[in-house]
Amino acid sequence: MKVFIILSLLLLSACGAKRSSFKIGETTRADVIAEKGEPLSEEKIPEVKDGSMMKFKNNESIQLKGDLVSNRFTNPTGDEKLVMWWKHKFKSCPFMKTTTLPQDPKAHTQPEVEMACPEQGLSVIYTQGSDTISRVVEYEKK
Amino acid sequence: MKKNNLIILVALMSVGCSRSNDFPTLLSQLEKSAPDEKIAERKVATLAADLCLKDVFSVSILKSEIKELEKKYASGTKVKGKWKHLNLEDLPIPQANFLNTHGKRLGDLNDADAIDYSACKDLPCIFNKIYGKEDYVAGYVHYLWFLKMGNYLTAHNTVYGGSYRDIKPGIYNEKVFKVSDYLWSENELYAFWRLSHMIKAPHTELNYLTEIQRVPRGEYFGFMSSMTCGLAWSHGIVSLQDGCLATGTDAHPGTFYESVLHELTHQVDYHQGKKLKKSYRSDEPDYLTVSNFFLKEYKDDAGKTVRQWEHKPGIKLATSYAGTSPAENFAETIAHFRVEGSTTKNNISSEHWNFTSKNYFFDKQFQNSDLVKGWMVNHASLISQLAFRAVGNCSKSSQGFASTYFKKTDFITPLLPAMINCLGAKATEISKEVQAKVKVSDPDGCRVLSGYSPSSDWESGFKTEVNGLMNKYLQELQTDKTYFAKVQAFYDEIPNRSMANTAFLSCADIASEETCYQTEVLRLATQKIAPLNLPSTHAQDLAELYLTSHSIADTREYLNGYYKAFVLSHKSQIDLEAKDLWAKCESIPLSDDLPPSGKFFSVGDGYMASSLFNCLNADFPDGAKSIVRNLAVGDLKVQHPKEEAILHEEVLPELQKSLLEIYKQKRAKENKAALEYIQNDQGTLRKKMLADFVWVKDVLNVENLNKDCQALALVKIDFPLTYQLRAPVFGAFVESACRDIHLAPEYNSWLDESKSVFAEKSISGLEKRIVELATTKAKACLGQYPIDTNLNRIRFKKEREACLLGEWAPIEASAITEFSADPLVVKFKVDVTAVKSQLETNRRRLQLRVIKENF
Repeated sequence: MKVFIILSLLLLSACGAKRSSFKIGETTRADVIAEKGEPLSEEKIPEVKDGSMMKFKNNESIQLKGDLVSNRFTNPTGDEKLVMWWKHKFKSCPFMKTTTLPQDPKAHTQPEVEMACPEQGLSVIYTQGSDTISRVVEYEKK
Repeated sequence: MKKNNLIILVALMSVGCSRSNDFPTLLSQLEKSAPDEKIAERKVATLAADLCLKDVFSVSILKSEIKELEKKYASGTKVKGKWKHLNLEDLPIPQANFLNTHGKRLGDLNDADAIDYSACKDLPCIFNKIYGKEDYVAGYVHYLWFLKMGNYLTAHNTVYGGSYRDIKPGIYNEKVFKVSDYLWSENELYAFWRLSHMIKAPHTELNYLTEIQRVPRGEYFGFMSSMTCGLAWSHGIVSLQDGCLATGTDAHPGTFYESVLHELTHQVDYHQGKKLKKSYRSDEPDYLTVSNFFLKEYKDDAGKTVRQWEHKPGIKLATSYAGTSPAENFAETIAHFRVEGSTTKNNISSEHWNFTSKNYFFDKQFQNSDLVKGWMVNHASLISQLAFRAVGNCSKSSQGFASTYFKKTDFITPLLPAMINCLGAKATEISKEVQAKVKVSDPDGCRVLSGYSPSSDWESGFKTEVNGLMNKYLQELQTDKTYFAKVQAFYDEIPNRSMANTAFLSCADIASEETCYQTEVLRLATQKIAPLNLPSTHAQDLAELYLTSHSIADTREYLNGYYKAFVLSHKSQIDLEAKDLWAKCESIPLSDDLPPSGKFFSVGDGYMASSLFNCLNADFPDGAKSIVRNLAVGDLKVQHPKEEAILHEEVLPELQKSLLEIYKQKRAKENKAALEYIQNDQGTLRKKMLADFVWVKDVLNVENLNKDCQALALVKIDFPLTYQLRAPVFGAFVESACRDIHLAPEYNSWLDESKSVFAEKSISGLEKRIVELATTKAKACLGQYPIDTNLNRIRFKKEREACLLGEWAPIEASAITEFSADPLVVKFKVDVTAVKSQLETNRRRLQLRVIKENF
């Protein structure tokens, strides 16, 4: 019986460790490392209380608040690089909004725009006028 | 390459490396009808030493350049159609292409008939009419810029304002301006012409740049700081203001060149980024490494995304402005590299310098010493001929010369003092002659060779060069009196690109292209020199002189430009293919269900029904191939594989542009029809929304009520859109239709009639609120009793649930307090006891839902 319980717990742990998708607000730092290995770098974000950022290969960044994943930044791949692809994805999003991100006032290139669907906990960033998405951001759904 | 045994090496390699040209080329056919470009300044016979490029800037030199460039379009497809009184078929193809593309954006955009063009038979005349002058440089500069760069140096009265403001033609910063206020001054026109001689690819291959516009004289942008003198818009416009247009003189150029080049380099950034499917090329890791930038990004406590560029330690900047962002760094560094070589070299790191030189200037540099070396190479043939002539003349002449240019020790062959003086005097004359040619032909000539402190690099380099040549010829004349006659013909052939072009096209494998090219050029040149029976070292020198005069970068650029012109000469064929492609895809049933997919054609940050978009992208490659395979010179179609590959690269952006133009026209038409639909609505949509209220989900929250109304109103609009999303087009319309809908009598009547239904809906609203409050509590419980591991999930299950359920009663009470205070609840005198009873029935269901969603 003891062996059975131990084996069951081991099996449960093994199944748990195979979890591959992050849940914003639930996945912990340990979960991230278990899945992705040690980050290339990890730094505090002074501007965010208890904030830190872990960087991985392929320019993936995972922001933590305390011990929990709060945001994830990745590069788009394939058709996700198209602004139009995301407009299609967000077209049924009832509260979709587009915000211009602040930039250095001295710069005179076109600003970046964030197109967000809070219901899906997703936003994308692209340069105004461009057809290409620069970044995909995951955050807590609202 | 080492000189020793060069011929043997070339002979050996020619067996292994040369590619047999079994396929005829369109290029060879084109060149038969359009001989090589002649440099216009060679027609200037005798030049005064103090003339600069500006002094030869004239209608005649511009016409001469235009004539040479237009030859490349001779075998193209004539453009059909008319522009006012002009038949486009009667015009040279590039002029017709210009009018076809930009013909509606000339002169006064408020009044197409404001200027009388009826006396005009060509495009330069049209431009000159806008300037109010006859046979003036403006007409030719505008056209020449279009020929060389492919974009329109505008001659109209509007400036793009982006999302900052809607700028009407003739009005800027709320002031009225004449067309002439938007036109370029003669100095500015000269500066653009000079700049066109300074820049090469990639600045001359900005396929998606459409217009370079001028802000009215004396005005700032208005929506940017007054320090901003230029803007580069990613969709293909550059705007320039007075501050970017200070031209100076040839000896002391103003800031025009770095400013305009800065904006054009932003366009390079966008263009190259586009190829990489990125917004900016300068955001790529390799550029961030050499420029020492990194991006700091995070979401702040308020949930706002922050992205800001930061410097790595040790960053070195071309200018302080280059520290703003990688994009500004890219633009500043490349512009200053070209215009202020020496200063820039001191300011940036050697890695950054080498990166810029290699990737953006074909390994060239533009410090004064580099420019001088380049001029020596470019004029090597002329210097050689003049040196040889000097040796011949001095050998026969008894005229006395006074010169201290050379010393006895400068010569290998023992010479009499009279001969040394003669050669020295001739060398001085040759130096002046070549410098004079450089000053009137090269944009940097006067800056480097004139002015208050002319570069000393010329004389030291020139003396070494001419001394070496004279020594060689002195020796050769002793053994072979016919030497000069033998090599004269080859010297004259050096500017001829045929061997270089043949060599380039024969090298198919890109990985070994450079080595193959060098080998092939030397082989062909050596073959050509062989009948002259020269000593092997001289033959090697001549072969290498040819190779030096035709670097692979120059040849590649020349051929790309040639093929680009050829493709553009068939623009009407490309437009036709684009129309056919569009019609075919438009004929399939329209659907926006599947996600968009494709890498060939995009609509910027616009939109299009996905079925149409996907079809265009799927058929694009075949469309491009079809265009290439139908390109012909006479009866000869494309057969040569490398030529086909080059043409394909040139066709792709043109097909994209043609499709994009169709998209813009269709979208504009659809937008106009949508606006008419809105204008003709006369309250119909609001009536539809007030006809029934099945759509009402939340009667407690007016904001949510409004949002629900707008969401359904968007669906109820029976105007189909193909080229835009409904929300941006009809957003304001539905907002207006749903404004204060909660105050509408029909709505309030429905509410009164629907009290029981309201009660039900209000209970669902109340339950929603309870779930919200419970979820917040659940998250707090998770902090105490985490589920970070399976073990914890099991271990703390009871405590977690107890944490939540223990607070359920206060949560319910709080929600009910809010509910009871709601004006509608008060209005309808909702029985709160009945509501509590209902909640009790549903309580466990709600608890389980919160537990399932959070634990």
